[in-house]
Amino acid sequence: MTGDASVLYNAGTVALQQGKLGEAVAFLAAARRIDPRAEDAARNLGLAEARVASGRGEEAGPVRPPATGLALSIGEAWWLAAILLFLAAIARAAWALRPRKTPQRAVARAIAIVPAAAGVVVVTWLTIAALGENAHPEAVVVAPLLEARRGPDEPNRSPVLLRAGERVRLGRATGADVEVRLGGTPIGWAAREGLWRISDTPRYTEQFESR
Amino acid sequence: MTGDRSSLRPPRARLVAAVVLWAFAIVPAVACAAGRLSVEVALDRSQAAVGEDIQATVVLRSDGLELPQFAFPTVAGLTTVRIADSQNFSWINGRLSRSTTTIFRITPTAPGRYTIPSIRIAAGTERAESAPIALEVGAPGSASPPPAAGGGAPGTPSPVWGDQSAPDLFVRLNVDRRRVFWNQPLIARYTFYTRVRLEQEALWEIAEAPGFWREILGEPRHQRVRVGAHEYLTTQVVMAYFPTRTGRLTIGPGKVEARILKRINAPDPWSILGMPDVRAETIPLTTDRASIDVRPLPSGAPQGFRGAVGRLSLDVRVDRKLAHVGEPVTVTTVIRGEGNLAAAGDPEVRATLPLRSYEVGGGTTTDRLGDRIRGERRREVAFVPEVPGSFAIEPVRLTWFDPVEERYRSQISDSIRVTIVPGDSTDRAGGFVAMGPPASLRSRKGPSGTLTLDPSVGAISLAVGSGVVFLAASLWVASREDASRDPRRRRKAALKRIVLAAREARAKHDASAASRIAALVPEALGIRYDADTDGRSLEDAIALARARGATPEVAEEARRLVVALEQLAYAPASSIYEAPGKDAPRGTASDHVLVSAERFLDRLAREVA
Repeated sequence: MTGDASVLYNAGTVALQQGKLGEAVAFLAAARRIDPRAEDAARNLGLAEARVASGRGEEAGPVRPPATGLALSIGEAWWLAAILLFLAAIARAAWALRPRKTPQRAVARAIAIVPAAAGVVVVTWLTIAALGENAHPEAVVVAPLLEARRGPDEPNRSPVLLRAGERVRLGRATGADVEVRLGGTPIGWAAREGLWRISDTPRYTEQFESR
Repeated sequence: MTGDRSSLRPPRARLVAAVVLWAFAIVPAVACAAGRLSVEVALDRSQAAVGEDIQATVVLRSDGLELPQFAFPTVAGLTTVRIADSQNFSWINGRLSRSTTTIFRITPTAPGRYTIPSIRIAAGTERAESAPIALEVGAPGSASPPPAAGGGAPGTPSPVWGDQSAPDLFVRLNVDRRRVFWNQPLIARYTFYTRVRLEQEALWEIAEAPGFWREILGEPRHQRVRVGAHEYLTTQVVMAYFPTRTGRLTIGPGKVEARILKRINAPDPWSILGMPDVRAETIPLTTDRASIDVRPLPSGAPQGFRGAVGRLSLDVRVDRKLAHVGEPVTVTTVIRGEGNLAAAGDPEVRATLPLRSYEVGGGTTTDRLGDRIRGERRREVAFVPEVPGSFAIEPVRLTWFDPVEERYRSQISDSIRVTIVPGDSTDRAGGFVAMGPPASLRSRKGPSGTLTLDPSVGAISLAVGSGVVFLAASLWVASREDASRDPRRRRKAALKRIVLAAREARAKHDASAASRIAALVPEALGIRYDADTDGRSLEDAIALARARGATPEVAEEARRLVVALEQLAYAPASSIYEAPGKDAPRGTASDHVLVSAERFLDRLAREVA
């Protein structure tokens, strides 16, 4: 799903001003996925997450927005990997067309190997991230308090309380409930309506603004 | 006016006034705090031999700052040396407690039955006294292994191995008390003594102890001690036992197997190594049993008693006293001290209103490294208020049995009032976290993009296309390198180069072309028939080619061409070309020879293919 970074940023900032930390984190995290070098989105997301941490009783230190200098969005990262592989392919073809061992052939060989390795690393990392996101999409708790309780086929488990703005990952879904995971571990089942997937946030912007 | 006066007072006078005020404030508190006082004395064994070292441990405790000095009683026939001291302070629920542990080494100088008198201490109005302790001392070497040895033959378990008066190996089981209450921990020490070489460290088999729950305290401890006239290396395993039923119970025997190295032959004087013959032998040893009298807890346990036995304290706290509707308030109860914390149970935590509550954390941590088992048991309960107002956490009560004082004790926390105000919990977070205002809204349209982590079609097409090109180029290079390593292809390539060289030479139309082509013919023959003709005469080259399969016709043609080319090379220039260079006439005899030679070379190259 595509979205406009400014629309998402504005929705997140309004939510932050209204004290709706869940919505603020969800919109701002989505805005940063599209435009990770925007300093205002990084700052407001840092504020929202610091308030979430403070609400959990954790020590709220000074806000340190994430670095924005060389940050790439996922789309840009994919293009970077593709360009690296393209450069590697050009250099490899030039190397192949030089039948004799010449200095130019050695240069072409070096130019082919370095971007090829970098491209493969970036593609691997992005593929793992994409597969992880598809299997367990990232979501944000938007309900003020959300109870992650025992699942339908699980043994006894103590319920876990989640607060607005906490980031989790989702697993299987059954009816109105969805499995909630923290740190790669399922912690229980919660109502779907209390959670927004970050990739779905553009769907909520109009709904949020109309409220 | 008062403020003016104090500001005029010299700094030294203000300091003295502050000290006096502090003294007035703190001294009564300390005096009140110098409450409960206790002293305990324990020996590491009740029987010993003359000259053997016995360890005495004296523990003083006070629920205040003041802790009196004491002197270890002097007993004729026993030499006492103070070895070590340690101190401990703790501040729990606003109450200060202090304890000191002092270790003495007692060495008997004469056999007999001794009684170490009580140690009496006093602090303020509090007094405490330890129980007298009996110590039986035998003749030198006689009392080393507590029971009489039962043989010592290999394979027959007994507490002693070797000479009865000065055994090489023996084992002991000591317990710090023989009468305990149900669930009161007792400490057992399994000690292995050796003064012979072992092949490997002795391994204890943990003793059977039906009716007890047990915990190992730390790693095995190694020490050198003197028993009688001999010095031994000891390995001691310390365990805590918690009786889970009453009556007469038994601990032990502990079993250990030691593999000693036994010399069976003297060194061979004629051997350059001079090593004695040594054989490993397994010696099983078993300790005596320890009989323990486990008493039931006294009747009349207070309400809320859940089986905690030991010396415990309770700490209760909440994470906030002001909360918003829907915001959880977490109450933490911590039980600390010595005793059966794992089985002690948690005190009940209740609120004055019917609130949703969740158990959000907890656990027991136990310190097993010292000579006592101590730790803390923590439980966290979250209450979620749903309406504004206030509620209170009711006083939390912990009841336990103190086996030292032989009575039930209770500690009750204060009630804690929590105020609930309306509004989202996030408002509170916004109010508490001072981090500056958020960045303002944007007026311009921002970049648009996908929120999934999947690649775009363009990027993936470019990446895949590049990968295909890369792979194709790699395969092409690989196949070309394979081809270059094929000898047949290499020969063909070499012959092609010769044909090209001959063609270039002929195209120049100068006199040297014939001599250059004449030199190429034997080389081409050698390459064609895989013979080394480098540096050889024409006839030798032809003979080698013949030997490698060249037909007589080919050999004759080569010879004829070379002769003709050489004649051409040494003929006067005017007889060959009308003019040098590009003006040379076409279709002359010389041109015919050069063309024939080039065709011959080309034919050889095609034959290799």
